Amino acid sequence: MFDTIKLKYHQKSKYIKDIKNAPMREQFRGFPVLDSSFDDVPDETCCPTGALKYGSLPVISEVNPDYIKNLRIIIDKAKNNPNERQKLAIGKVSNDLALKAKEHGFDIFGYIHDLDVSGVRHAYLEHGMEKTEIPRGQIPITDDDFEKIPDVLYSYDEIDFSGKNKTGLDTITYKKHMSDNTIFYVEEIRTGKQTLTINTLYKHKNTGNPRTSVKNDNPLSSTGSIIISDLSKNFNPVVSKCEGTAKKILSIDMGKCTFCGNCKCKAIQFTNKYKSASTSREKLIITENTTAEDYEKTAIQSRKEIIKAFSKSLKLRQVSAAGCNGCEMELNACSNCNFDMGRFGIDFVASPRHADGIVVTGPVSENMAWALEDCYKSVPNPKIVILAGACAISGGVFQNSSKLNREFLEKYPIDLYIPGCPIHPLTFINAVLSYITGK
Amino acid sequence: MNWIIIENNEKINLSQIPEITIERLREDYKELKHRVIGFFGKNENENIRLYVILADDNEGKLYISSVLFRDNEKSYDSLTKDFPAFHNFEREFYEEFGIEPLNHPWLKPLRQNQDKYSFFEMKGEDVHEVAVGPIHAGVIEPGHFRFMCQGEKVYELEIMLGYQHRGVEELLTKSKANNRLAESVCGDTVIGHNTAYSQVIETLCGTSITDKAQIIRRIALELERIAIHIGDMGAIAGDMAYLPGASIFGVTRTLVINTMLEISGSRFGRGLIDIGGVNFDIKEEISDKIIKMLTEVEKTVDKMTKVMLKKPSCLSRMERTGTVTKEQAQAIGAVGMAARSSGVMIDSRIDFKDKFYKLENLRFSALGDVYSRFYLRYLEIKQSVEAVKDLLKILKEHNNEDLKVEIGDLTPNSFAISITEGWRGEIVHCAITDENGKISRYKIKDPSFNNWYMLSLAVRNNGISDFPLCNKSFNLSYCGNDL
Repeated sequence: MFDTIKLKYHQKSKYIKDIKNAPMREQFRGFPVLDSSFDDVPDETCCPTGALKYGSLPVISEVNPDYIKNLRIIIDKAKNNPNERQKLAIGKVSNDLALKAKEHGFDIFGYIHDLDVSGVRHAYLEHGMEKTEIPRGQIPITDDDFEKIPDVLYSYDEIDFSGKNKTGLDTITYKKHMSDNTIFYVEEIRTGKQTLTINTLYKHKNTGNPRTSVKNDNPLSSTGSIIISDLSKNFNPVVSKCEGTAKKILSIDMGKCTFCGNCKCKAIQFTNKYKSASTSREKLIITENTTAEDYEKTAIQSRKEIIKAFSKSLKLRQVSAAGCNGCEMELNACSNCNFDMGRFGIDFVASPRHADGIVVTGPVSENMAWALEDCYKSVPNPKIVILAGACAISGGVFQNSSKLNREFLEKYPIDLYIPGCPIHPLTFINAVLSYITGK
Repeated sequence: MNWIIIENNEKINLSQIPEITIERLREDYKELKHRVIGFFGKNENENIRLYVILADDNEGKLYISSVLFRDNEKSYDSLTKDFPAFHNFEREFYEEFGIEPLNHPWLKPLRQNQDKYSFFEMKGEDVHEVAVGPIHAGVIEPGHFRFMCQGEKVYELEIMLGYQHRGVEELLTKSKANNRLAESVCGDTVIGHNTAYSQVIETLCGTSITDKAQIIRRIALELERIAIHIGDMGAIAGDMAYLPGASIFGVTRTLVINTMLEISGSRFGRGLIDIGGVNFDIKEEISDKIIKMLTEVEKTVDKMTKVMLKKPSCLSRMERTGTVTKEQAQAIGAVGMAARSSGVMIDSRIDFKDKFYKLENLRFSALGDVYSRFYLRYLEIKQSVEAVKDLLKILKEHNNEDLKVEIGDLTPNSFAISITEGWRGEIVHCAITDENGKISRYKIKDPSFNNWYMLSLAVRNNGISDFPLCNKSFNLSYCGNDL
């Protein structure tokens, strides 16, 4: 009985329709639309946060910055003390990968790619010796090959989800054509500890007929698995590189943008569209190919579990980690009579113990880092993390400050990015509502 | 000559600043009876030079001098023990340069080294401590409060801040123009801090901006004051659990900030002000809209305030709650709206010459309690509404002027200061350039820096349940203090 009451009053479809189509004054600087066919492309230096780029597309790295530095330690251990257990994080699982895995029936949201001693050892023992590799048509792997792992994981050409290892755990195999005309394979196991651990890697020369060589050499193929081609990466990588250098790309990273409008010129127009939030960090980078309509349709990708757990009620704990009070005031405004977020079942609560997730504002100062982490840990599972405002997403105008400690954001999975400086209440409410209802 | 006397928004050469001893400073401070508004150090080769700025509110002049600490001088006799107004300034100076003020009663970390912070303790039967923060129950900034209570009554409140320290001053020295950063010094005083920042840089460049830009800046500043004061009145009502007040003031505030959005494209006026002028014009049609909106807002605020101040349940919560006397406020060097509500009539819009404002000090019985702070907000809203209407009239006479002018290079070896009356109180920005014309030291003083101790005094001998009300009635900035 109570469920029907909730449906009737809390998320009355009329209210949802109202808030989704809420009008906005035309002067509002929201979603930017780019068109570099104009000559007056602005100077990058006019941008206070480096959100505006005219050149190659900025890459959002989710890779552990210390990976290369600490890799040698793991390799040494694998060679000399194989019984010691040590792990090294490679980086966070990207949202694109997680969504793709979802299609094949498993959930790896919030997982971390990592490398451990036994994986390295396995790779050396099985694929590191010439006498075993050359008959298989493969090239023995060397220490340098481990450095290429992040490259393969984050920009693979093909991916296969259907494998299982000896103990029945799911495996993922990535395949990438490298620039030195070899084909690189990385195999990962999905563990119970929310990690994707590198199981092994091997490579062979690109003979021009990779399919057959896969069939012969890939142990997975004997179990009858199918290699799923990744359509978005289905082009010759060498060609795309040439294009990239020949043509400069104009882009704005909404995760950094303060929407100040100082780059005002014909090539960049700030529209009054306020639905600029996304579940993926990469999507926040707007290029000339992005239209507002397409963006609104694809930017927020929800999940079945989230919808099931939170669609009727979401209680959030806000943590201001050195936020300037701009985003905080706008978040307060979300609950006032104008916006009344409570009618959708979304509320801010006083304690993390009552909450389903946290909303972080501000660039996370060194002094707030521990409190933020404590707060996150106090929220019971399942929980979500929302980053509100340019400062939280990228550091914003404070990104060069030496007093920040943004480790938290690298360590834990982020569910929703809400751009703005400060965020507009309509951006926030619409983003959260789309995320929890999946509509 | 111990002091050089200048006006607001004036530039001087570094060599013009006299050098005095700390003893001389102590005597002069006692004799001149001016207010300290700046007290910060700067590295000078191996030595450290301490700049002191005093404000003469009656004449509208600024007194500047400096004290040199040589390599081997690592301490001096504290000024705070004689003049409590120095207490935060000395703590800050000690934290940044390691020169110890001896016999300082309160020498605790201000922004850094928080793990070394030692709290006062109180012992005895019935005595208990309540620790709150850094994360609070509401959607506000972080700070730690520790109440020492006897039963329900607060004996002492110790406030520990610094969680918001982002190194703003250091970042501002890195680039020549960074208005977006200046706006984020304190996100609820966007116009106030950005105006002060722009004025300091323009002064150092020797650029004078057009009257039109000046007027638009002041209109925005007053709109900000109106918006935040209405929001605060709503928040005070909310903390007394008087929900009609919270709702109606909340909605009325939205009208003001949405008008700001129509002017500048941002609800808080971000992107409006840049060094050299302003980016957006207030045209005839927007000007009419502002006047229409303000008339409506004034009517609603009038009506709601009247209703609220007739309710005995509201009055009983506000009257004689969180009182700070005039003597206390003067002694600790309180500024701005909070000081005015205790009867210390300082307002840099009035005290320092400004040709665009025609304001007078408000007359009302300032008792220093929550009621006074609530009522003063109401009066200031009405005053600002009139001021905006006046300014809009003058703006019409300057219709043909440019919005923005080109700025030159920063003058080397100079010192400039700018004071702007934000809605909380005076915002002081100082900048010093080196011989290459680069900013080598930037100093910000937000009114909260002076006023946090006022909150501590206000809750003494009050019930602990009145703390939220007292806190909201000051509405001080955490990030403005922590920088």
